Amino acid sequence: MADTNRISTDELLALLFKERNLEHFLQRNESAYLTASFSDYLNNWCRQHLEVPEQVIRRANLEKSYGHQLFSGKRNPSRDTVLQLAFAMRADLPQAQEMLRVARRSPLYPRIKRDAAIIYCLHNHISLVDTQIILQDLELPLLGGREK
Amino acid sequence: MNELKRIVADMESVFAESSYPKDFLADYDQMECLASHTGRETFLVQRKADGETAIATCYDRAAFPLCPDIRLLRELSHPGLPHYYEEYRNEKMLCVVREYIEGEPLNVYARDRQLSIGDIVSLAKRLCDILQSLHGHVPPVVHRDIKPENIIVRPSGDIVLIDFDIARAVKEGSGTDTVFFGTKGYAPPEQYGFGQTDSRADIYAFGVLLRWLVTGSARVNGNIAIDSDMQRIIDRCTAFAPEQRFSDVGEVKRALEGVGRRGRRVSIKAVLALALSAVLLLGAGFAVGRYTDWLKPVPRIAFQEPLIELAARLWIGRESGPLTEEDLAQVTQLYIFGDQAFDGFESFNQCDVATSAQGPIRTLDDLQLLRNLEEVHIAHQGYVDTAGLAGLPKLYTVELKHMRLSGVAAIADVPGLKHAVLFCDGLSDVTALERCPWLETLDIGLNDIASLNQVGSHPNVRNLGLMWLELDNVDDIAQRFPKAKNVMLQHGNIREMSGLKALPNLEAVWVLSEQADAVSALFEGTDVQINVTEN
Repeated sequence: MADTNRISTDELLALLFKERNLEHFLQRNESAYLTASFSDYLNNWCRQHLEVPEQVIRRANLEKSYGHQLFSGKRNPSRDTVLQLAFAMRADLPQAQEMLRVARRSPLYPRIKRDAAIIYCLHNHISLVDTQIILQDLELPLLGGREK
Repeated sequence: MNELKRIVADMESVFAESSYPKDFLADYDQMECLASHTGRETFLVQRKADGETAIATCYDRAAFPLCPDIRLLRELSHPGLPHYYEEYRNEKMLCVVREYIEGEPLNVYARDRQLSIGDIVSLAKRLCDILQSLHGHVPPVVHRDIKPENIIVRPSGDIVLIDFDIARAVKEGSGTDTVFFGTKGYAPPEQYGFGQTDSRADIYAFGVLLRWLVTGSARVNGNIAIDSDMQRIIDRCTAFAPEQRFSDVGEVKRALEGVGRRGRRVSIKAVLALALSAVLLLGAGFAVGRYTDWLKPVPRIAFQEPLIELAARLWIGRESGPLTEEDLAQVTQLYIFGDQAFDGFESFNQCDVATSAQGPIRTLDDLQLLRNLEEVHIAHQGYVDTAGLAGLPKLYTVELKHMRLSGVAAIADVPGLKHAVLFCDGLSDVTALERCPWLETLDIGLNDIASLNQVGSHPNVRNLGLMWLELDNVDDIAQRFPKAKNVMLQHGNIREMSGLKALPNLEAVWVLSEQADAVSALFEGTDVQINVTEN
């Protein structure tokens, strides 16, 4: 687990809850993203970070052929899949929210316990595996544990 | 691993204070927040017992006093309506859980497909069936927020109407509505405050929805040709006055039966191409002198204000060519906001002072040409001489706002005046309106009025708008407005409000949230409804 810039859970959540207007979290600027597809986003990221899709797919703990379909744009990801990819791409909270927007999925919302745990883990760069352990200990559905 | 345990413990302690009902959290996992508005959140949830996906809407009971009636929702049963499962409440929140509908919202569905007129008619008829079941319920239920986002198209093509947050049962004999809710652009005029919304409010929104489906815009767009039968249906659904609309959705459905057999969606490109070829042909005609007879002078009816002429033309659908007396006799309503004219209340009402340019109108003398005028809606002008309003025999609604008026004497000389909306007009004395015996609505918000002495006595006024006024007291309001039922006080400051309690017929007041405590305390123990609005 990365230890840099860590703030405590209560500090982060207190900060989030102090945000009077939670709608900020839900603001979508759909028109800005209408042209950008999620597969473009993934492929651009790989190019910029000199990674190949296989590495990202593996770290996201996704089934290989499904992962490639996401990169080629043949499938649209579920919200949990986007979040798994966010962990695999070492995204922070703003980047994860952007990925959700591009994929047209609901943003993370800190008043939901499961989302708050995910926000905390993304913010502190906790790995996907450790995030799943935290979700399990909190008796919350695991990422990728259900498909809508 | 200890680090992870610490995080889990921290998280548990933070969420131990959660405001959601404990039994709700015990039964359901919140998976996503689909929408969040002040005091109301909609979640995708998963039932822990069997993993079933559902939708939960949670209301902060303090911020959202008008929670939906779960008993009413449960009684509604139609394949086009979601099932309501259960509700959970604690002292802070109410969470209502309903069936999750698989499918796409209509705004997405229609955006991704080119719907033919036949598709639209079939969809609209299915919506009529759903509305019929709501309106036929005892008591009738009005949805009040019909818009593409609230209609889900299932993979089978069937549709489901969702979001009953603001649905309400219509109380017979109740004069006015609770409070404005709904979606701007789709909500009918009466939903903005004055007047009880009934099933015709849904018919209005249905008409706007039809227009959106056919033209891609909820606003009126004269550049897109619409099947004439469809146009007639839309116009009748969206008439300003509820009594001019279809009386029930069954009637709308019957009207829809005749649409689509000959019409087709026409693109703006096709319309422009057609217009261009017409101009070319006409030009050829001029070249050989065939049409020059048209150029003979005709007696012209002269307007002083081009914008008033444009508004009159828009109302009767004659945007060019000379106007005749007969044409003018057909003009019953005028809508002008800033430098733009519109052909109906809905477009006018979507305008905003902040985003539109001030208009050029200086005099209303032109209105004397329009002897059958019933409603005048003009906003955002400079100094305007109102003399032209005097004596118009059929006029009953005068809405003049965001301008400087010469005075209200001419308005007081409108013999049948029923509704006067004179918001933000620089007025310091409206007592002349005492001459209007039929006056039911008087909105004098944001004027230079510091005392009710400047307002006068109006024995028949039911709806009184006092927004943005600074008044020392309203001690004699009951003598001045004995029949007042609805009083709007948003943004105002009345230092001594106790006079409001003496209003014998008061049913509802409108306030901002920061005013709510003081006003609620004043009416504690009475039946007066306190409606809290955001602006």
